[in-house]
Amino acid sequence: MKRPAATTLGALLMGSRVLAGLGTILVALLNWTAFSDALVIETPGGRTPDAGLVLGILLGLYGVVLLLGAGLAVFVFLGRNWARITAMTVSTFSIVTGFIDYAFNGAAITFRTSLFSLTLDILILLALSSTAARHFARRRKSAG
Amino acid sequence: MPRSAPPRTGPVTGRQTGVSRVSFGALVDGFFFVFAGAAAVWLAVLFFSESLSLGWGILWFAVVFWLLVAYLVLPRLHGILTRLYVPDYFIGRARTSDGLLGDPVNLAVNATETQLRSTLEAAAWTRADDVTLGTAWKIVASTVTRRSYDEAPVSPLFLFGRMQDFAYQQEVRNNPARRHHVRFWRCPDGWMLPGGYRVDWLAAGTFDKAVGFSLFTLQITHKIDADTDVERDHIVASLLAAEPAARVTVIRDFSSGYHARNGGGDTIQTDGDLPVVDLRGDP
Repeated sequence: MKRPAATTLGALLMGSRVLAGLGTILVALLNWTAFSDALVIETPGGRTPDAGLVLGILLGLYGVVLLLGAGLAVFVFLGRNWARITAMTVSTFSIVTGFIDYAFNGAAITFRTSLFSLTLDILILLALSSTAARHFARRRKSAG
Repeated sequence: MPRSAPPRTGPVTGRQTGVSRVSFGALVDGFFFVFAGAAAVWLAVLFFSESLSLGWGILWFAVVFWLLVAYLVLPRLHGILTRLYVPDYFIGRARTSDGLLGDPVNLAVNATETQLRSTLEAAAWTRADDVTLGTAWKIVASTVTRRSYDEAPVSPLFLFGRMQDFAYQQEVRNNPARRHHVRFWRCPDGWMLPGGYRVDWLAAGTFDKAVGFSLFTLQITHKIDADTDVERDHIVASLLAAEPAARVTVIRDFSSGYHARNGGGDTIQTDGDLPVVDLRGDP
């Protein structure tokens, strides 16, 4: 069975989310001082840890998450059903979190805030939950 | 009293208990299908309220909003609703990918795939490419450069729960808006038409007369000619001209008094006759 456009599109959107994240890391690396100075760290002990170290750890963790996302996109592209379900679950969590923030905390969702990433999540979910993408992932699964 | 089925991931092969068992995987898929639809509606609402704050950008945004509603939200809502109320057995109509009723099935063929294809090609029909990102790009490129794209793909229509096996078309004087086209589905083994006729292939042939705006789906689609009998007779005549050994029997009033709309909202009229073209040659 040929890979349907919905699967390709879903994987591409996941990839573009990873690229956007890498862009954020790059911006942080290029403006290291400004970013670490802006970091407000509150610790109960009163000791002030090195802001640069904290920023490094945060960016490192974010990088690992992005790497996992890129791997997941590849497996979605290859038509693995577990990857498709995982990606849809992640998007669903992200959408539900955004909705709770919007409906109960009155968060404004605009292009300046999270509308772009929310749009990506919803497009990924629409693409991967489509009938064509489902048949493709399930066909591959039963074929081994 | 219905018992709750244990979660299963494999195909359902359990005993027949009278309780319909749905696999865990299908439930998960159903949830994501519906949830994505709801999320898309919310996204449309967000885009709409965002557009109100944009001022001069509102025109650009109106286009994005329309694309969102017509190509993402409505298809998913149609998909959810038609799963509930459109029967999935043979009713003489193909269905669109959103589950709406599409072109009428108006032709049957008895032939092997090779016989059918070689006869169609001898009758000056061109095989339509499958819809892929590559061929979608070719459509855009051919429209911009005003070159003709004879093998342009046709939209997928579904019969027996499957997309057409292949489609053929004839362009009209290099005008991409007008074309003859016919989709073919192989019938499942042992399957018979209502009335007990056994055929190898079913086909839906319609004539695209223009590109237009569908009020049903809000999408840009081909508008088909309402008199689908003209196209049906054109296909039969071209097959007979290309293959002198072909024979035609007609099932009279197969779908008589058939006045309805296709998935794009175009009206359809037909006398209801179903020609069965036999290309297998003399036995």
